[in-house]
Amino acid sequence: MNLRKTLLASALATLGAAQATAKPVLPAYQTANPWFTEGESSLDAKPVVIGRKVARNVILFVGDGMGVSTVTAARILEGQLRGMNGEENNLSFDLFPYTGLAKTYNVDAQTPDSAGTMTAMMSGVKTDVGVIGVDEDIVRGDCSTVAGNELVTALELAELAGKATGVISTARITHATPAATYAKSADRNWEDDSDMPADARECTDIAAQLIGFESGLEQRFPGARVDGIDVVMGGGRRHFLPRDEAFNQERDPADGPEGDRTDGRDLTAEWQQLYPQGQYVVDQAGFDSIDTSGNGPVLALFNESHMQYEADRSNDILGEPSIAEMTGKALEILDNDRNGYFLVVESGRIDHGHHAGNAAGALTDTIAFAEAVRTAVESVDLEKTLIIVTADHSHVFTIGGYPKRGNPILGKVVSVGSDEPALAADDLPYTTLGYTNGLGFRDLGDETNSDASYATPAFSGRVDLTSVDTQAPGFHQETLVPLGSETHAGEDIAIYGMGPGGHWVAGTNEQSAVFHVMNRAAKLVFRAQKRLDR
Amino acid sequence: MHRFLFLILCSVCSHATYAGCALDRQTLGARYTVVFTDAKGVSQESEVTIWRMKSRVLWEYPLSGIAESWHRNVREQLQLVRYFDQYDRGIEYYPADMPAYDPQSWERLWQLVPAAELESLEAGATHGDKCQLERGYSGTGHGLEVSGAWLGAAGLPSRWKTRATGASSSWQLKELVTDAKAVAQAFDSREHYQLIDYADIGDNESDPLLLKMASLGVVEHKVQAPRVAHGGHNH
Repeated sequence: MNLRKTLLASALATLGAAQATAKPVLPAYQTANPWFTEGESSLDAKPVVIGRKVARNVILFVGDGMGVSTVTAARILEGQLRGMNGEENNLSFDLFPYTGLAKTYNVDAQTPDSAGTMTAMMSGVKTDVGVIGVDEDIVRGDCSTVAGNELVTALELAELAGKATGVISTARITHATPAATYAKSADRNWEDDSDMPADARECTDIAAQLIGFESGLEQRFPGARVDGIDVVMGGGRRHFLPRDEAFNQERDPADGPEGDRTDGRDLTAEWQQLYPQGQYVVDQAGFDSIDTSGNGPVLALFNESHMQYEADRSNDILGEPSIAEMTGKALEILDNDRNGYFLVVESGRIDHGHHAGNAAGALTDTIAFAEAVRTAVESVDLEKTLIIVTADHSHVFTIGGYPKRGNPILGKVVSVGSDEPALAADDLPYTTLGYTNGLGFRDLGDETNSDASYATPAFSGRVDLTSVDTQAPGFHQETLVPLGSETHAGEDIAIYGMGPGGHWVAGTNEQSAVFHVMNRAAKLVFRAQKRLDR
Repeated sequence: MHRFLFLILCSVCSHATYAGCALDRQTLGARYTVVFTDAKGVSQESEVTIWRMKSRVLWEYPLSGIAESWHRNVREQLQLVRYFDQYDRGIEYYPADMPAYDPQSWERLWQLVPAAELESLEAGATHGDKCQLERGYSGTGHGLEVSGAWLGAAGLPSRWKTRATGASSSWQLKELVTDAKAVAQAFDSREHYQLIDYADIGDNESDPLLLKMASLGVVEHKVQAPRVAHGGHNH
């Protein structure tokens, strides 16, 4: 008996030793990266919260381009739409208990882009402009430099840890911010195979990586027990379909092919073959019919390209859900997993409204984003869920002049004690909101699509706004520097935290610290490694 | 009566024989030399080629290396792709990015002079026969003088001149391409270009080429469809 016990103990010890040597879930080049180590130590330096619980769930909300001035202006607009003065209003996340700032620069850029910033938030490592899920040793546009520089993301860790996972965006689901949750690419624009140069065909395009996410993770982590991303919702259907009218799902065939792929692959069909229990939807009716019992994953691609601006959403022919509706539906599905979930929600078109120089569009999308956050706060167990709300970068968007309290935020400046618009040194009225650069003034009236500004050249300088309704949705603010598109800005953005670990967002942080907040709160690395070691 | 007959002819002549000419006006190309002269008498010559294929029309500006492909979809919305030939790239504008569909604007793209504006002019004598049959037109109004000749079979001007406040534009047809393969080739020749959505330009500002394209793309081209009588929508 003793011999049998000894042999059994020896066998178990040998087995345990073999399992303990399973590959580290994070590669050494990621954990040794100076950005990564700085992020870890920055959290070590923050005050300790006694009795802090481990987060079972993590939700990361990203308002693309939602700088602090955007938050302030949206707050005021939302309040004014409710009949208030506006300034005293609070957006949903204004009420979060913890607030901090993030420095958004990329390794090679003072003013960053979405790809580098979201990679930082998802992996703990800052990287270059325009690359997805890879570190700064990458050469942008050079496929051969991807291998060996891939970073593991928080979503992948959650998947490896056995959690349910989801990613939602109002932009194309292959666009930079959502792509940085699941893909590795030397160029953010490689959304499908037709976007890639001939010498990059060894690399896999972003859409294909999304569909092959489960098998890709299993290849990188042999023995890993994963089941793929449970909820994917957004736009960008054209990157999943062949360039053939026969595969059109919304566009009339007479109007040409909907898809862009030139490799003949229908990734939506491949996904349905991989997940026979899955639900693939393309419109509001399909969204409304989704079974939320969690019996299979969901892939929802609501538009060929980006989803509609919130202000324009009612014009979509087949209908699109709002970001709040998508968030609510996703949470219903993900909450079925007893291991918890990891969800990323991006409002992708605040950024586009700003690029078009249309404050009304950008702020309307921001208000819709805040509504999505409210949906989450009201739906989840706040004792067990870390919710982070942040942006990836800001825009050159200002709130200026000395308008009186309650002055319409989209209107012209009317000074304290006055009822008439203030006049500038050129004897012309001016708006409270403005952009430093971009396409400049347009008066498109009731146009609700911010992008409907192609027709005229970039225009800098002043216009007589006396008879112009600057509060109309189609009004684009004046600018100083004429550019084909308004630009991002380089100042810090805000991070809002609620739930277990939310306090770690306080202070001024490198943006890459967001990963560590999520990791520490939910023990993502620990749990992923533990599951790999079994 | 004359105008009524003209309209009837135009409504059926896309595939039928027009004055003994079996020309498919839905599938052709037209190469123009365009001369602009400003109020100071300074002239600038340019070239424009217009290709038509069913619901698509392609304007090529060879001297500036830019081409614009317009598509009118089944829902009567316009979609535009602006190509930059020097870079093999282009910017795509979805229908929602475009101004609301205006039939006259489409006609101006399709045939330079909308039918309503043509009808408002004084019709003159005809010359030539069959595919070369053309009718002269002239007129003044709202400070604009117009004179030219209209090729009925092709549904395009063979020559067209407008003058206003001392400035003028003059269009002269140099070549009419009726070979369907050549027309298809014109549309297909840029299929391999890498396109970007107009909405994505701002997210690619680190791409200097794209910044340049964006600036080029929004600069108004000097070569525009001629405006007649009550004006029109320039592109």
